[in-house]
Amino acid sequence: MKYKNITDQDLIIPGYGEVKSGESIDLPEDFHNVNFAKVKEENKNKKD
Amino acid sequence: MSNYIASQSYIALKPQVDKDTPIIPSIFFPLISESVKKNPNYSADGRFSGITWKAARLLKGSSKVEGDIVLYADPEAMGHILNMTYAKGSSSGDALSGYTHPFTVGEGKSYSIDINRGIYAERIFGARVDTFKLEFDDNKAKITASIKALGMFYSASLAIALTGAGMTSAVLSTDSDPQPAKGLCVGDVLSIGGTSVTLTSVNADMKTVGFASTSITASVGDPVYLLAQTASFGTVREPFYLGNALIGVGADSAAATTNAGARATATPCYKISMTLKNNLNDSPASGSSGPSVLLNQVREGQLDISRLFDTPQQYQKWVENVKQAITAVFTGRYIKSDQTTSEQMTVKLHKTSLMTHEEPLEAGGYIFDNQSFEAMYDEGDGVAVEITLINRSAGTVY
Repeated sequence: MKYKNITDQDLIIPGYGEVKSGESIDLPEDFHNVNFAKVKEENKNKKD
Repeated sequence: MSNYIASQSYIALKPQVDKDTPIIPSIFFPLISESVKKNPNYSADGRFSGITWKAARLLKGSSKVEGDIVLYADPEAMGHILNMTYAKGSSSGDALSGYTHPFTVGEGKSYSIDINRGIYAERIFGARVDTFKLEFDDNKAKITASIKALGMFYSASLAIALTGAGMTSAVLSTDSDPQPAKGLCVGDVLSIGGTSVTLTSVNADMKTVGFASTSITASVGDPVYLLAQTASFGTVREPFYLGNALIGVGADSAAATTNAGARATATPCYKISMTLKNNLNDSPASGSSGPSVLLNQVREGQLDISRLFDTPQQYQKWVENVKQAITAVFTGRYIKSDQTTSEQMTVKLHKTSLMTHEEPLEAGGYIFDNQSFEAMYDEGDGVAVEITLINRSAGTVY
């Protein structure tokens, strides 16, 4: 699951490293931090 | 059964919009230690009831949420501790040169604070600093903030069983608190009977919480815990150091500030300890199991320093109760790239007098003036204490 740093600061997550402001990284499904938002992944099978 | 290392804990905090509305804390700091707890203040029920034992049950008193939070006094942490202690005025500055935040004696902001224990968290809300104690520990400035708060959510139990698929709400038991969900926010993650849910609502009855349809099977009395966030730290700043602290003493605040402006005119101090108290009244009132409001009572402050004895002048000032103004300037790292602005905290005590003054003689050692100043209201300046902080956080953070 991808999570995006939605703050204007670069943040360090212990065990995962630094996440720049606006950057998205893969984190476990149960990751919970109010400074990060789940990134909705587009459905790759979706047909136009 | 899991066990947890305390060093993995953190403190997260955020100023609330108002004292009664908790918010999920988002600003994380490394913690040295803490002792905040909700105390139901039980007492033994000693009524005569046909037994020869002290009591057969405990009865609840008025609950209080209080304790100490100990952090290194870095310019960012100090911004929030000061904001919880005193009233912040209008901030100025920019990211390039740093932001200046003036604090004056007044009502500090109420904060929500999370302190985690293992995978769980205590949510403290409506928290303000009652006593602020700044001291140095092996050169490093350390702040002990004794806080009081309106309440805390840590754990509860289920009042009504959940029976499998399609559960969308849970009712918490009021056995320990008539408003057990107070402190929770939309977006919090609760463990209910071992199943995690993200809250989509906290009902006005303060005992019912809502979440997306989830399959949960749990019995009455099963535990409900607040799950901790994974920490996310901004840049951790260095604490202020004793080596970069200058103490100016003078006949008035202007003279003290001038003396604090240079090492040549500052007074070298071997120990510095400053205490500022709000003396918050957290008495319980009807309608709440604990305090419903924290009220400032008379404020006070003390400064303890130790400096080398050179003349009996300070003794004379003590016995004659002479006013001395003191300005303490704590300087941190440079902010601006051309090194013209720095992190800085300036504390001005406009009027102090020596409450105690000692010049103990110890074999083999120098004679020191060990002094305890009472910070008082300066009727001429119309102020007792002023604090200015320069750091890297904009005023909107507070």
